[in-house]
Amino acid sequence: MNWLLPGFLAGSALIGLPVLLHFLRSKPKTILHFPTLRFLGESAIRDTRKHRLLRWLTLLLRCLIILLLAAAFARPFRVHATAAHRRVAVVAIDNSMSMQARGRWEEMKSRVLAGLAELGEGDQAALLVMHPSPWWLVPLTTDLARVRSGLQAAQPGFEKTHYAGALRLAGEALAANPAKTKILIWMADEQRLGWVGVDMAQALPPGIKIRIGETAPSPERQAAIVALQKSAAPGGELVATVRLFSPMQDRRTITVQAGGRVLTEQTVSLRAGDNKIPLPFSPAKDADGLRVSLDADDLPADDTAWLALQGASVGTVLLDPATGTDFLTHALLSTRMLGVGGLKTSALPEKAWPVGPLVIVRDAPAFRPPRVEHLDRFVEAGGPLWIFVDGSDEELGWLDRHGVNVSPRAPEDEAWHLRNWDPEHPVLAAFSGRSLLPLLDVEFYQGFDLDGDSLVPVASWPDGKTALAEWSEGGRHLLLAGFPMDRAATNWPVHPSFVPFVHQAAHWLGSFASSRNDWRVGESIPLESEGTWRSLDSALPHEQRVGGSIRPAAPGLFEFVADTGARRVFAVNIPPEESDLTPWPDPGQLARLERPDAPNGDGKRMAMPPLSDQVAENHQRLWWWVFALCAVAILVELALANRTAL
Amino acid sequence: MPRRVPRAIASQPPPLPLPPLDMRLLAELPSLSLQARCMVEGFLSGHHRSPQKGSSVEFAEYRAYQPGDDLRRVDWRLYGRTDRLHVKQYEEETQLRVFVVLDTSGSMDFQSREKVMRKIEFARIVIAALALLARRQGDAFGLGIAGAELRGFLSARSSVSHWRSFIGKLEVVSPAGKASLATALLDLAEVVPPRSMIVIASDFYEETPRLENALRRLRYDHHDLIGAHVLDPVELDFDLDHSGTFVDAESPGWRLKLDAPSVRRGYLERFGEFCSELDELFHEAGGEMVRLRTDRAPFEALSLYLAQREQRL
Repeated sequence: MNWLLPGFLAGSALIGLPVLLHFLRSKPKTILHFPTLRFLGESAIRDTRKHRLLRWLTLLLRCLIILLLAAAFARPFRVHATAAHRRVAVVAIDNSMSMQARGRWEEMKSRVLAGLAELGEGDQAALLVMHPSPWWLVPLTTDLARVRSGLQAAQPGFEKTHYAGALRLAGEALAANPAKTKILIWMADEQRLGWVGVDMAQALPPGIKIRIGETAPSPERQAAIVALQKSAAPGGELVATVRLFSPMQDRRTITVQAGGRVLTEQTVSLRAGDNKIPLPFSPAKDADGLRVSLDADDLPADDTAWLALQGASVGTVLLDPATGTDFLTHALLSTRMLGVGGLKTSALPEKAWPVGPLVIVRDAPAFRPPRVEHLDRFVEAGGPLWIFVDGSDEELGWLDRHGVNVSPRAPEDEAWHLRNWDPEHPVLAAFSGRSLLPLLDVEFYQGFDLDGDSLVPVASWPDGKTALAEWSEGGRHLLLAGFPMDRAATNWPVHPSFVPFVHQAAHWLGSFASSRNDWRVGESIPLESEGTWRSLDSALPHEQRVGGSIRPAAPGLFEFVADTGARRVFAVNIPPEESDLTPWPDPGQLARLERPDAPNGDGKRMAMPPLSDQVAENHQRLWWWVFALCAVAILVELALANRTAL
Repeated sequence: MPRRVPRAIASQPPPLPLPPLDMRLLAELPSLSLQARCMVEGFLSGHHRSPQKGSSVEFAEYRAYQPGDDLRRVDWRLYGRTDRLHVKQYEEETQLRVFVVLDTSGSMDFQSREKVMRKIEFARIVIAALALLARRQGDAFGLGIAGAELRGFLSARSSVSHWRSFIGKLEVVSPAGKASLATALLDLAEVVPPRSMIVIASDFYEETPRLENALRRLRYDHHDLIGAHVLDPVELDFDLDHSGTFVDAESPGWRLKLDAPSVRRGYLERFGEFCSELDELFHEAGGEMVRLRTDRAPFEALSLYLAQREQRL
């Protein structure tokens, strides 16, 4: 039997109290002179013996109750004898692009397979893949053959290296395992990039041995195409930025292809660092994109880059006039002002509204004649609409006629935060794969509860009432925000999440194509509607249905055909920083992640029980049964105490 | 609520001599009548009925004249009406002989608390009071001291000097270990004239068959028997709250290690049966039993009993 909090066992010393009381109360040496013992015969002796027995039993029960209470607070748990002598190994696989360096993957896989061969029958192993986010390729299992075959079949990808998540997950999984020997087999190239952000002072849980292989040697030849830029002028040139990672000069051949046809090829001399190489070419008018590649070096994955040649349309947003600072207009125009494409805005026309642009309504005049007639016709025609509720009677009446019930929220001392964000909703595509914390931090001081059969909640108020909803009516996309868009009602306009959210919502509502067509592996590409995603590179021939967004796991030239028939081409390339294979400068620091299972560590560490013990105790919950037994003992003791009370 | 074991019985009690009789207490004895339940035979005339028919003041019956009868006792009026000679017979009133018996066994030397009297001291007061009542109404009173046998005896008289002897005898009484009340009563039966009133002050811790035998013997002589059952409150209630070694007062070698609270219920059951048995024995012997607690005033229960007895008679 083991104890999670053995300090509470010291409480069992309290059994001295009932024992002391028992002996203080008993005075067997007292002599009582009595007129006659004729009425205190054998039966009295029997009664006395029985009574004495009951009193001893009561004492034992009291001691037992104290011991049980101490035991319950000490949180008992059993460690399976078999598990305590077995071993468990977690293989953390760095499947980032850098692992594609020549010979690196196979060499490390052989080393890990050798390590797995040391495990025997009853031992457990698991495969943890690091990217794009840590996930279990093979969960902990005693089927070591499955683990080995899983490792054999695994292949490196094109993601950017990041070790922190996998290190934490592997540590927690091992700590939670009751096995005596816990091994973390680190199958990674110790790339400097991967260890950035890892707190080296935060060691693994105690008792975990980490096996880190030898640091992979830097490749002799390593260059990468990190950027492609085409001049806007027709018939202009293409500029490829090639980064050479080796200190020595190198001569490389660079080839530009379009639709499988070589457009140009030239040999260049590269120096360490970035080399901007102008490449004259004249692609066919129907070419979707360019494939630019270097002759292969020790890391071929980053020797090819793609460039989409198709431009993107610019979406138009019509807004009603705002009082005070027009945060929405600023947000919508922000990317355009930076020269990276974007949206253009315009005031709502006095005449009939065109159906194509997105209309954002946030004030009462839009719901008054004659504008409300334009609004009705616009909605009936299927125009995209985004309404910010400000609580005016005209607005509430209009919404009520359309089956949406809006009720104001009672103001509170503390600001509200939106909860229950639907991460799968297309308006959140900009946050897909990233943290939703920027959205959760936004404060609201004024708001309205939305209710209606045709509403699909996107986010809720803290009490669960709908705050932001998609309004699906007749196949149209409308967005209804249960708060005014001004600083008196929310701090969202000055919050970092405002611009990406507004842009994504506007693109989704207006089905605007994103002006950006150059993306990196691991980034989430927002898509205006559902459609088909297909690779234009023969190496990746498969296609898939997508909606809202997609996160490509491999580089290439991709085609997206929306259900509406619109077609767009995206170029997805390797993150440039992943091409830097420089290892972590201090390998000894990595070895110090391992924390010995020493009982005489610092006080803080001793006070914290191992995670595996907590898990074992949590699963068994023996303390509950001990408490139940204690309760029964208390009841019996009460009954006996009443019979033996003096 | 049970009480703690009093210091008085939780330690080895030294054999303390009895204090002198409290004459002031006796002086407070209320005016009561000690009335015999049956007819008594005495030498002096008193206010108790005598079985002897004579020339006293209270008419008893007629009988036919017989030669030799005193002619003065012939009822001439009746002769005038019936033409037959009858003589009058009268009830003769006589003096009562009251014998009080004091049990001096070791069990009578018991006092559960400082505030209550020792049983023997209480019994001594009671029998002295009874003797005083007898003396006040001109009856003769005697004394029997019961130990292993009849240890002391004073025949029944009513003179002043006899009262002094009576008190002197009571004051030198001391309780002694093992006693036999039945033996003492049998001895007493041999020396006490018939038709006397015998008051026995004791706890009656005697073997029941022997006591029954002694009482039957006393009944044979037509004695008027009164049992004064003197008991300490602890004997009656057994309200002790402790464990310990219980020592028998009359047989110190007999010891029991007991827990008082746990045996209380059984003790009270058996003690109740014993008291009922005693009542039955006295009833069968034509006597009565009065139960006296030493934590009450000595004359309280006694006065009540005598008053009720007088009403019954």
